[in-house]
Amino acid sequence: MECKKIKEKISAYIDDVLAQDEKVLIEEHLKSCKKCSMYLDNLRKTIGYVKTVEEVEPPSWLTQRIMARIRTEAEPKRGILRRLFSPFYLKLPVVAVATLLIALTTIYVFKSIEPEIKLAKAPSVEIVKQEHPPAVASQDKIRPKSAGPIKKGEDASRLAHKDREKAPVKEETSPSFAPEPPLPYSKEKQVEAKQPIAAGKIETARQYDYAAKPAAPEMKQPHVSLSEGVRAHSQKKSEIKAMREQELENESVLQYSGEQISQKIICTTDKELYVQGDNVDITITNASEKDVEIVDRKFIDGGFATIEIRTSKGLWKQIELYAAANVAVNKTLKPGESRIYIWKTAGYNRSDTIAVSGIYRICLGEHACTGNFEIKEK
Amino acid sequence: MKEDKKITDEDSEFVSLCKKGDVDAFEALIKKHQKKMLNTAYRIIGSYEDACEVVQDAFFSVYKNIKTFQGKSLFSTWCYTIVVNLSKNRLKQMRTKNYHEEFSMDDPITTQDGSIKVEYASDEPSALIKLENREIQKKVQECIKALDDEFREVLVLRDMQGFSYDEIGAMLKIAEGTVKSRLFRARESVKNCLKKVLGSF
Repeated sequence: MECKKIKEKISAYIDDVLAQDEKVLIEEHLKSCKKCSMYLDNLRKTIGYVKTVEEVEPPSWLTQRIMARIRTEAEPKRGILRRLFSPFYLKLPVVAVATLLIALTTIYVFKSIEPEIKLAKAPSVEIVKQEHPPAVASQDKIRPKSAGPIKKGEDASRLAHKDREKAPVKEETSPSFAPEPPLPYSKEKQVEAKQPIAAGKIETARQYDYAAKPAAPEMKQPHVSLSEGVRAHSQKKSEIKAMREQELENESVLQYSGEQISQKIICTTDKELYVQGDNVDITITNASEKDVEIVDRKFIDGGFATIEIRTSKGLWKQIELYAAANVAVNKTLKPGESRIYIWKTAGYNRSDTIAVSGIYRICLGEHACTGNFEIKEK
Repeated sequence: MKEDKKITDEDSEFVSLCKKGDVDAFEALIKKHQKKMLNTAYRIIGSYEDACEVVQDAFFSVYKNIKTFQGKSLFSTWCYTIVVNLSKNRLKQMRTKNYHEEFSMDDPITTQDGSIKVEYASDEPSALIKLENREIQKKVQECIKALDDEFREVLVLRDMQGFSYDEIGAMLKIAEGTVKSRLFRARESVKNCLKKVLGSF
């Protein structure tokens, strides 16, 4: 065998993975070839150096953090499935426990399972009511076009009442159930949750407030920042580009299995246009007549709603957030109630993270999405 | 892993417990394997922080899927496969995102609580030798870090973690011939790099 071929096999020879006959050939060659012998020697020394590279120690908190995550995951699930599974992980350093990600879960199991809704109690009002005046029919638009940007803290029900007093905005036709094509950037700030609702029930389903409940429902609005001081990747301008190059799962987000449900959850953002570093206020409203269970999960594997950015192909791609495991707290969102969550577009992963500019939306699994909003570069 | 010729899996007892839902048993498995998992991730990725995250993800993934583990390979091999794959993914992400925070191998590693990680063994050679070793260490690490990703992977798995060619092939889903050629080229590259920085061998 010639030197060149020998050299190519020397590495494997060192590891003793060659066939016997090859081994013999090499050894024969080495006996007489000084060059190759030196080569063997140098390669062995190199490997020796590599082996001297010291091992690092795992941080003292590593085991506990993993166990914490596992234990939270292993919690028995109460009642019917309510969790919203979202694919992003949240890993939070123990230090930054102060404000954590709050997960909003609805009743939808991420991706593959039929949605089931946990009902805290039976509705007090019969659903089928047809006689509401048309002005009320567009109630589902919490923030109609004409309303303009909403100030932080203003709650949805107050707005809804305002809406009712104004002339009704254009009413959407019955929500279709076909997979939604990617939305072009629109002025509409919200999108209805799609549900297969029989025509006769549409009016009622859109009721924001029911005749049987004259008083405005109580609003609870804990302002919770989704994450602060959490580490992860830094997102640069090239992120969108990178996402474009990655495979995407499916175009349609709003799909429902076909079960007739007259529940609705409405998600809206307070603005349509933000600057990098702004906080995005997300209002989740239970616009149905039944209670909806929310599991506020200060963390983990499955957090809250997904935050999605639109790629150049017009498809939606989830962005990853990192936070960590903590406590799950159950709350009931009564009909008409809202909650506001805040996505801080700066520092939500590591302190140097900032959301890249682009068109975004936030979705509660496949239940409901906010309208598209844009984040501009600073 | 040098123990791949063993028929029995050292971890099988704990794995059975975990399959039955014993969460605490998993903690024992973490403690046993975390250092090697971390080092594998760290040497592939190059960033200690990212390696820590990847290891967490890996163990979590192991736990979630433990019921599906059939024992066709050693439990640990399965764990390392997961961490290697997650490391590769992370590396890819970092590259495409123009990740700037590459950890300089020269810097001492600071942990979460601010203390400095000591990287050197406790042998206590003389100060001069210590310095030399340190220098050499630095150079070797630089040369390894300078490798192309696919070469560094096989080098880390073979020469640092001691996996067999078969195991490496299974983990990276490449043929044995590919393992051989990549390893050869990886070692060649490190050799040439070291020659440059260290002078003669």
